[in-house]
Amino acid sequence: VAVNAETVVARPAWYEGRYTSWLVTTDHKRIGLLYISTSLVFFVGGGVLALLMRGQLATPNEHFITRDHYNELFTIHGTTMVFLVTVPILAGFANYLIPLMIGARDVAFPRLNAMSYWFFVFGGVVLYLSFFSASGAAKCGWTCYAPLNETQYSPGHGVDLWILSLHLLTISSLAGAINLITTIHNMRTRGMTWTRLPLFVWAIEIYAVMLVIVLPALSAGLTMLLLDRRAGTHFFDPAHGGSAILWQHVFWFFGHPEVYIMILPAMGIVSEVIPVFARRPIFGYKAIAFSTVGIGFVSMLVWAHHMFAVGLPIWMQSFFMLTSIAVAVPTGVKIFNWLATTWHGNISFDTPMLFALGFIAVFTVGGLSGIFLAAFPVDWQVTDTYFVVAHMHYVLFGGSIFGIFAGLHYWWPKFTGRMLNETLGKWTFWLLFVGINLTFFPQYLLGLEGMPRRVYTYSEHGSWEVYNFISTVGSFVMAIGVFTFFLNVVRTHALRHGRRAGNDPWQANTLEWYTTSPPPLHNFENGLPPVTSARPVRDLRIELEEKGAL
Amino acid sequence: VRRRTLVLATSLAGAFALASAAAASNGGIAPVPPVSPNGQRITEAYWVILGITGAVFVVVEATLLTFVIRYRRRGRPRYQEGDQIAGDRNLEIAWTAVPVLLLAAVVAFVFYQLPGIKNVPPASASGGPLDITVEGHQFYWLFKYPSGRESINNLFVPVDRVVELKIVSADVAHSFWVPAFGGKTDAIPGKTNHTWFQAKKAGVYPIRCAEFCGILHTNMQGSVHVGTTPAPESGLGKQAFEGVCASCHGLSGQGDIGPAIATSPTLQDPKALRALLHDGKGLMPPVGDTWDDRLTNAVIAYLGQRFGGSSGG
Repeated sequence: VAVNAETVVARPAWYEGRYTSWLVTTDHKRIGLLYISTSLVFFVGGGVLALLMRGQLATPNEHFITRDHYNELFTIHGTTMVFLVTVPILAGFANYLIPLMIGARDVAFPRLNAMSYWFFVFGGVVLYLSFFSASGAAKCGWTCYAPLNETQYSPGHGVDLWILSLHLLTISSLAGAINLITTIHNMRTRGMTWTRLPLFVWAIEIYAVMLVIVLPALSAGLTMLLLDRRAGTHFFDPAHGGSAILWQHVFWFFGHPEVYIMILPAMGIVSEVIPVFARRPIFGYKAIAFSTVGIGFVSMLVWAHHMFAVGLPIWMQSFFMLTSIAVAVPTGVKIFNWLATTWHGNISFDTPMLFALGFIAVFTVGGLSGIFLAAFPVDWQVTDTYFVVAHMHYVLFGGSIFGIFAGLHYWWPKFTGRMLNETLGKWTFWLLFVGINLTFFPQYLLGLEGMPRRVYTYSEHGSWEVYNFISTVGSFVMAIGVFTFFLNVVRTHALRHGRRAGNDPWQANTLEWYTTSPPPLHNFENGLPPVTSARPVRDLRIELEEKGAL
Repeated sequence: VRRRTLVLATSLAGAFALASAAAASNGGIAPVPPVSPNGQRITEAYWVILGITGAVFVVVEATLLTFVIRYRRRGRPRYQEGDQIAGDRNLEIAWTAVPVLLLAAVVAFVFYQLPGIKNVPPASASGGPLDITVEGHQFYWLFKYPSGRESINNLFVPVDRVVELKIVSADVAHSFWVPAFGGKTDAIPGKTNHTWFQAKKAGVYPIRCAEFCGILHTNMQGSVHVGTTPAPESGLGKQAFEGVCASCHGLSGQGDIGPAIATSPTLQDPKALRALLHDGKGLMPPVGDTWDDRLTNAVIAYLGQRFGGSSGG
């Protein structure tokens, strides 16, 4: 049947349904909320896997979980937290906030945006359904080193489904990143120059550029692995002329920048929150923006610091030590600028601010412990132990997840029009703050005492027993903290206790606070204030005050 | 309420930290006490880095606490603005340059220690280096001595003798680690790595596999026996059974992740057993594919003797 180009295709009624409309939405705000809520579901899933592991390790010679299942748990926990929680929840924040912050009505490619989201959902579903495959889920760690990842050593379809899941997720992230870059470059409102962009937008710009550069390496590596497993090639099989180390290079060329992909946007959130609650301009705007670019660039030159023990030439290890240590400089610049932002401020300790300050306190520990891992002879001693587990969780939970919680509490009023409860918010923060230190600080000590990572049990008593037990207690404190957050959400919405937020509950600086909460379909129905600085909403507020209109 | 929560949380965390420090026998912030010179130098580098990063930690956290307390709202109107100072070039230069200097100190100390960590010491009074090959297998370590002798999971070396290790893998990636001797060296198929140690004190030091290598990774442990005479060669079959077969089939052959073997007729069939060890079968890896005849024969003899002649294990 020929269709006249001018015919408007009638849309079925369910497209407009209260719930079903979410299935077909291309609105960046709705897609952002879908990303965030789906990631939170996976966050609970990955967290339950972690609690099962901590339960197994609570005491020596525990048999609560079998070896095989333990190996599945840490594989899927790591994959979940990286690919299904941190990266997509940040994509959710970016989706929701970037168009609002730059004064646009949507992202550049709304339908591509919807596709990215649904690929993410399918990728996550494939990963979790892989538990039900005949031989169970992948059990080779989230890094899935060669040649353990080959069919000879990992028979069954666990690894194949892991590859399928990651392929879907890389396509999702790649399309999302291209969308964000195009939006930031082309859709800024008049006056929104690069030096007036909110620092969160800067962070997302670098996040997206890095994804575009490094994700293809992961996709290529996954494809080669799939060919090895199912088409008879031998890229990573040394028995047939392949190279086991090649997998490590490919994986970490993607994998290390991925760490910064997860931390830079969280740093962007902190850079938004601290000035608002300290009532100060961000200190050193350009220094922070430039350090974001610097971290992004250098982070692509550090990958082999994950491989110091594989026997690379000393000159190469020296190079990767220098680059890895160099990352500490721009990171330090950010920390010092945030500290300076609180100097002579008027600080309110609302939950977003607590998480932002908690980020500085905890991330600093994680960042500093990275120096030990960059100094390669010391790395030979502490790598692949619980020292590394502690380091990465201080950075990714104390960093990324604290930043994300700061963002959730900060923008929740914008997302929903309702304020979260402050008392419950403070409980969430303190439980997570105490919990993370109880869980992960003893793990530094365990690593120093020689406990390797990825072991399902241990027979050592004494300090190992004590530290592991404390760590398990801490993990449950964290779980209660996360539960408190969900309780807060339920109280605010299901029980309808949330106060109305108004447009701008925090008296903030950036354009998303100029529109209603939640914003209308195309964001700014009454136009935009002129943008003549990095704080257009503050400028407008001052102007109105001077006119006596406020 | 806020301050009480803070005090409570801090004291709780502090109490746990103290309890753990008290309970830890040799635990704490130091790595495993090193007994080899390269491990000693790594530990020295560790202390230097801990000193520098510890100082930075104290500065950052103290500044954070000071500012947070000093510049809290304290009765001022909520939206009253603080000083509108947006930056300072000299400060930016300072907190870029000072970390660069501190990190340069770390790098300099690492390079200063590096030769003593990496280079094998020259021959000493106790003789030239002892060359031992370490073969990583799923899930055991096979040691090959210059004399042609072999041992499984237990490595025997003299006190104060420089030992050079050639580290290889027969299947997947492993990582050879004696925490008391210093760093890890990965055993990677298709690659030969080298490391060394010189154990200054007699004793037994645990060996751990540090790279996840499959279902029994956790059990891939062993010991370095410094200053102990190696077990007699006649014990080789027993060693291999306990270190290799028993991890899957149980110490009495009762079965675990592998089937029960105690009554298996294959144990009494040297030819079939030889093929099984060399080629593997089904889920059983070819555990003995790199074994020489002596080792294979020792295992076959041990199995025949241990499980032969009776109807049950």
